[in-house]
Amino acid sequence: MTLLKTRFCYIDLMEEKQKKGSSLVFAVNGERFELPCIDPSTTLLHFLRSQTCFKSPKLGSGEGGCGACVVLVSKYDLKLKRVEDFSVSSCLTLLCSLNGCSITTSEGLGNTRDGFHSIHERFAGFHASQYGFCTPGICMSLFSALVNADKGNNPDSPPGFSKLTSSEAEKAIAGNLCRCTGYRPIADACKSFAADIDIEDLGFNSFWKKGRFQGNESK
Amino acid sequence: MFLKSEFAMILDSSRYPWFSPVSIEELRSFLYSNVTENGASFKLVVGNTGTGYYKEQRYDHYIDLRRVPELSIIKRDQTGIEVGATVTISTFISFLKEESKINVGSYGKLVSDKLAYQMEKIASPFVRNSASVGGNLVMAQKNGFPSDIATLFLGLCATVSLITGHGLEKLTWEELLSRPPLDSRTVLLTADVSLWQNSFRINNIRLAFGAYGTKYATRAKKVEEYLTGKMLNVHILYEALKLIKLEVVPEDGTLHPEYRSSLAVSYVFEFLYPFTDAHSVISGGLLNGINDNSVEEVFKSSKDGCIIQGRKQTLLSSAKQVMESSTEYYPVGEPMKKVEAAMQAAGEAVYVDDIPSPPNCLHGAFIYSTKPLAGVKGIQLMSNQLTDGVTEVITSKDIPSGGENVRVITMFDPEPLFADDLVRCVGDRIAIVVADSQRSADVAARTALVEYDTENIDSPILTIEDAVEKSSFIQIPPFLYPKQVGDFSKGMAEADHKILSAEVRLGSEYYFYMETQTALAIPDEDNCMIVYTSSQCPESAQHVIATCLGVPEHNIRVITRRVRGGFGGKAIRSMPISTACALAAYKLRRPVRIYVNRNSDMIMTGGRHPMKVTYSVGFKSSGKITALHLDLLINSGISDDVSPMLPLNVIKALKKYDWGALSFDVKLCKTNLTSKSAMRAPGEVQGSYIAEAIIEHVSSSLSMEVDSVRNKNVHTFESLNLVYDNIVSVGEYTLPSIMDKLAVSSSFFQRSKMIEQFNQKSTWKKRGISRVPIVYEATQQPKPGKVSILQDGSIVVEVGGIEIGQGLWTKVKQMTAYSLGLIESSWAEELVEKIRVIQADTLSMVQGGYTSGSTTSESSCEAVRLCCNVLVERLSPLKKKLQEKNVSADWPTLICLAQMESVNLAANSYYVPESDSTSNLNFSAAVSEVEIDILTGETTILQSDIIYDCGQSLNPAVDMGQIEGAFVQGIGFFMNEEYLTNEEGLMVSNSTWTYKIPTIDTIPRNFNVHVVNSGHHEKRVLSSKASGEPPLLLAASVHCAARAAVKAAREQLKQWDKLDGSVSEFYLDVPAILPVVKTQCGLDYVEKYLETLLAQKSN
Repeated sequence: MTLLKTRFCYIDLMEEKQKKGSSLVFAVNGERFELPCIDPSTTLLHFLRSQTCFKSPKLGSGEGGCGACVVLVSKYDLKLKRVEDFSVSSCLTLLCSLNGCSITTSEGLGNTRDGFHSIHERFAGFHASQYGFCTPGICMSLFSALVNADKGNNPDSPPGFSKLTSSEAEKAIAGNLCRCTGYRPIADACKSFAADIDIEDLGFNSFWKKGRFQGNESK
Repeated sequence: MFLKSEFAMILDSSRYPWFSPVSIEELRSFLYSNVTENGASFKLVVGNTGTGYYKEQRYDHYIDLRRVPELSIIKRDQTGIEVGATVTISTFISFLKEESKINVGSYGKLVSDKLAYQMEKIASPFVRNSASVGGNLVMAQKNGFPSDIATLFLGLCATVSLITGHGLEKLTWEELLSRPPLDSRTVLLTADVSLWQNSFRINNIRLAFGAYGTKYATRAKKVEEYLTGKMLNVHILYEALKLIKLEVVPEDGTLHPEYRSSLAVSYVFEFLYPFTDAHSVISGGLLNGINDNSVEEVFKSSKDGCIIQGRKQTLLSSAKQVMESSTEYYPVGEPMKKVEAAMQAAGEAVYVDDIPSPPNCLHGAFIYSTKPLAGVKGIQLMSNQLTDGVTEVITSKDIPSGGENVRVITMFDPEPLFADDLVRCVGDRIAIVVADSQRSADVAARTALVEYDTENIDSPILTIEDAVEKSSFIQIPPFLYPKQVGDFSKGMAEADHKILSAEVRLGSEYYFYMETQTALAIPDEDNCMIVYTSSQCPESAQHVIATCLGVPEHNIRVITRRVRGGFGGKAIRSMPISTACALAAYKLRRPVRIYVNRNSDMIMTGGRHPMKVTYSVGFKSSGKITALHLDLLINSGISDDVSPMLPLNVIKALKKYDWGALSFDVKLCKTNLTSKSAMRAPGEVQGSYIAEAIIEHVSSSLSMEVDSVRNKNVHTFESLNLVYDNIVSVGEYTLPSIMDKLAVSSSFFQRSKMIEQFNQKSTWKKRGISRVPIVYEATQQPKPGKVSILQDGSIVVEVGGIEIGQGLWTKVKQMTAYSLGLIESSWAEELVEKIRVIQADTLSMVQGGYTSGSTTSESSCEAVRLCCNVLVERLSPLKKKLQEKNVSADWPTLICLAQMESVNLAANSYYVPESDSTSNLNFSAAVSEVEIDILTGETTILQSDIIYDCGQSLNPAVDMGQIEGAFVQGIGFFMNEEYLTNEEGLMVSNSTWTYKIPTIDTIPRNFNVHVVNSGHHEKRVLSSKASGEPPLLLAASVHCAARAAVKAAREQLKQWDKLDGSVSEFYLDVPAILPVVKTQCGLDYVEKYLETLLAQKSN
């Protein structure tokens, strides 16, 4: 839903039909920003954290080395005539290079007021977030993989499933560091979106509930 | 659907110093315009990801190259692939993958596949998505960036096009590498990769090596020449490998130089071996080492004779979690989701750095010492105060009169906040620079020049040996000195065999919490201050800040809502950050915040204690150990911190085996290094590992199975209680049964046999398995709690413990619901939804203490339970009243009545554990199986099985997370994290580029954890046992398994009659990183293998 909203906003931006000599315009989670002047060395992360209410991207290393600041960038590719969606380290990305782009952060996918995105719910239900500093970035890495898998050529998956494969789901978050969980529950939360996975093969989670809880069986 | 705009949106370059040329002409005209000629700085950018490696200052102008069409082409023709400089690495990879699907011929396909495969190893997806191919190459050419693309392109004979002042220039990439660094106006346009032909006869070979310790990627030309035109056979290959070793030699100062040369040999061997005459004989050997059918298929199907990369995927393939929950205290014991998990995922949870800056807020950054011991003459800032926003430099001289220069007050010696005129360790705090933004402060601090004076100053003490020589020790108070067991000389007299004075060394480890140290201090009226900090002990922070400022403690309100990663590093080591922040705010009368950058945090924060142990052990021929003596030297760094507690921790964990008699001499070495502090299982992980190293040594010298020696020395109930002061009750000692159960559930003995067979057949991969038990003494600490019920029946809970990700709030919530639910048990479920646990506030709740030692959740729960008991007592009569009146009694009605009757709806408590229940033992065991790749030294963890006794878990899902997470952090300590310092003790692996914590592909591919419910434990909080730290010790099983695999490799060498030294008597360092494993397997394993083949042939 939110992505759609973001994209509509994006169309609005394009409709402005800017000629050469435009202002710096971009969207964050569907909200339009126009900046008449800016220090060109400002990074996207710095802007988000100091000028907006979107603080889900975190500064973990400032080196593109941990993935805590990952966001999704959507951009209209003039040559290919289509929207490209990709994840970036916002701590390295310069704001000026995002002119005409739309940015989605984890709170743009869902939040306490509008309801959580199923990615958020899966991470909670698979017990995949402990201290949680890395979680929004991981969610965005996964979201980017999901969006792109659905555009890709993988064979159609059953309804309700994405076209992501479980190995792609794991690979999608390969660059994100987590110091708490030991990754196993994160991998399971990600793989729960894959079409080629049986939910029964995934780790303990709050979605199975009745009947599958080993403790009750053994007692 | 999308508007197809003809117009790209291009920033107005007259308004923004950001220029986006749309053609080469525009680009050139800017590069040679007045702007740049007049000395303004400018930078050519694509994704700007290079700043992750080369941290740099800001530029006057940026030139965005992405809109120049010539720079963004990517295409393939008859001869090869042309890729524009601004094409992102991700786009290039997708292109190569697409290409290899269509008919490009077998060579084209091979090159495309290989390139894509290798490039997917560069950085991470989110960096590759914006990093450009050209940027990567230019960084390699200009700055010597260790670029994989540079190496690949060198090997592929790539050519490049440049635009210089003179026009277009085409040359080979190799030629460009040999030139002086490109000037800032030269633009890399495109790179061309040609596809070369291949056959069994070597017509043309290019061997390029990069990132092995020279400035640029280079070719091994002598080897190329030697091989050209030859028919490959074993002999030729052997000779070529000898040449490689001579030619691929890292520069002086490169880490692990022999390993790097040996790795070059391995790669060439792996590449060329299948083309030799011995291929058919050996491919079996190679393949047997690869546990993956698909690889075998790939190998068979590659009929054109080329090897497709055969290394398997290392990602997690299966995992099983078994929990035994208990409904006795519902909802305690439920595997509830963590309270704020979804909100954390959405990024709405507020951490200290997420609190919006108040108006006028300043930012601070530390200037720290790079010398271990030196006088400080002065500090000179390079940043300009006016233009760079720098406000002030704060030093010890700014401490108000009446205040003290302290940053740490523990039960031991205090430590100064700032060095006065003398720095006493590397990373010592000299000052903080305060500026209008964190970035300005960081830049000013990073570029500040500190003038040191080492005249008339002693040479620093940097090692344990230095400290011993100069008798530089920290006192261990007698009550913290561990107790000896039995009579060592008597125990030695009983022994059949002895090992005397063997040595084990262990290094440091950095916390690597994802959120670095941070604080925000806001001055308030009447010399008061609110300090938000990420701390595991706000109470102590309050105490230190008040002491430093010379104000009463009630002036200082320290607030910690949640800590995003502590692991011990946010306990004592967080105090200087909040104190310095408060001091700056106090002096400047403005809010100040500090968010320490990763590189500084790694240098200043210290970490785990390095140790050197010398042991002598006596044992029977049966493997039963009769006596052990340890000389334990612990490197504590410059200050006491918690170091005096370390000896006890080491010995407590070491005592998991029955050593017969146990004696030791422990010393805390005071050195000019950053103070070492508590890190998750401090001392225990080392003690537990030292025990394993000794067991391994004993079994090697007896040539016995390690596992049987372990079993012989595991405690009986009686011997356990003898060394642990009778703290275990009958039936609580579950370790022997856990070990048996684990052997069955992990098929330990069957797999041991299978591994033996595997190792006999496989030459290049070896496997090992190990079963390791642990005993962990946890200590319960006093904790306060407060429960208040509001008008609408919602409940607010305060506890002394801090939510550091360990699920404390969730457990507290469950406990509150259970305890208040005692009024009416059917309400418990509904009550869960009404409870909010709030932040720790040192003025609202005193005596919060430390969140440490794995038991804070239990203590906090117990404190809350005591509060609830009081409330239940007050509310129960009212409930009776309601029932008597036949009013349907529900929670809101009850609270409404209580309000009307003026019942006190808040209760607080301070839980103090009974003296006989402060300590208890935790038991667990793990089996791990690993496979090592002898060619590279890489260890893959094939499977880990853990059984953990959690008593009756308060929340098995949370405890499961603690167990898995601690285990993986332990893997980091034992296998991955290399803590490197320079000759002055300064940490140099201080970035994500050099310090490698486990990633998703490090963890066991099969990972099975069973949380056992061991029933009732009278002295524990609702029978719950701790889970935070003990599981970290279990990761030693991975190290021991790796040792077993290395042993198999040495066995192989022995079979070839080429082993120098003993098969089993060797020591595998911690962490067992690739060079360590490969070195113990023999850096010339490949050569020895070929020699064996040659010898067989000539016979």
